[in-house]
Amino acid sequence: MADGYSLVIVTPSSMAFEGEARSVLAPGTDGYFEVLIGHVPMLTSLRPGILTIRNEDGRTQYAVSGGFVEVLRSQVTVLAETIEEVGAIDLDRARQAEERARGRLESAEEGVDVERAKASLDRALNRIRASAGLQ
Amino acid sequence: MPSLREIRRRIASTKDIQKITKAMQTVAGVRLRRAQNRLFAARPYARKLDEMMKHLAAQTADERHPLMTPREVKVSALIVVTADRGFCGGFNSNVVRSAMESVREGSPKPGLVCVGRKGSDTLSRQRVEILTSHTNVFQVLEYAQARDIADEVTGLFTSGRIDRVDMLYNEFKSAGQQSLVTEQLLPVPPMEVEDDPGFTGYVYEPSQPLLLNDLVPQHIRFQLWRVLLESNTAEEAARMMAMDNATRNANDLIDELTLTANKIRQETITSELMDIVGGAEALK
Repeated sequence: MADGYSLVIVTPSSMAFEGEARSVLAPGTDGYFEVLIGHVPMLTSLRPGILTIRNEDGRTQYAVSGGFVEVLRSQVTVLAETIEEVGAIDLDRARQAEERARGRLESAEEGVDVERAKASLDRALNRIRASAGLQ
Repeated sequence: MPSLREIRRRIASTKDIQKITKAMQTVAGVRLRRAQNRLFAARPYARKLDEMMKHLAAQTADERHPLMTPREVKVSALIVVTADRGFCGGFNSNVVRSAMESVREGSPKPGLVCVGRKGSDTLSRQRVEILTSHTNVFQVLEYAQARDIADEVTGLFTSGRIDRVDMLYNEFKSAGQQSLVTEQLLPVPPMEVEDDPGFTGYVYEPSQPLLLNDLVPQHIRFQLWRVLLESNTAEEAARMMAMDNATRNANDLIDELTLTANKIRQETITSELMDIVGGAEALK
């Protein structure tokens, strides 16, 4: 295929996607960016957000919790910490995670790791937002 | 001499036990296959992450990342990975014994981070310093658990409370073999940088040091995740072996008991026959 490239999305526990893609729109640490064919080789990190893949089957959206993207000449690899197709998000679980994280932040006890609590709040909110955008 | 009835009862109960061990063996076999698949599923990620680390480490060789910088070890920690459940042969006790050895001989003596209920139960009764305990990890093993444990020890390392972290766990060699391994987690051991001729260099976004800031903690989380998967697979393999042995032992025991039962039965018949013959003889 002339205008596509091979895309692999891996997480620590699975191969989440393997196939052709025309474009990937991803939440980089410095803002959203899109990878089309012929993109310069690049290594970048992701923050929690929505990753959109376009290929012949149309458009698929995923909630990604952070990770890295490596762009090579004909191969793009996404190392995601966790990734879920937007339609498959368990909203209840995301809300519970949000509450837990908020609780930990508010308790402000000694020994609460604020950075970690913030990070998990970010991840929870991202999933809730992603799935709300769908409805 | 036990009575015939007693022996028959023992045979029956041994058969019941055998049914249970056989069932446990089957379940362990299924779980082993699943655990093995997860271990394999982690490989593509491992390979990619490793590549990225090497490329980045090669480019930023002059300035070491804090998590990769060794320092004088005043306080060290040992992550002890056991199972949550028993019935897996020497799996747990081997880890615990080795952990106790490291505590006895280590200088400085490491504080322990227990992962898995069995190790945490046994070690908390010993005179050792336990930093934290994580139990019921393996029932539903998810990446988030590895992330939490890794971030916790990374936090301790960054705040200067510990200067070195090792991991002690059972490595899965094959379905019939596990081996005890100790591996350094923190500071991250230096990578072997090899020249990759096909590699032309990337555009880095954000800058390399900032990327490394994200990549190194992720590398640590993933190492711990791999160790948990490894230990989980080894645990199921050990359990399968242990249950296979138990089933076979039960078989031997049943054979032996059946033999004894038959002997007793024959003896009884013989002595009854003698009685009858003797009685008939006396009547003549």
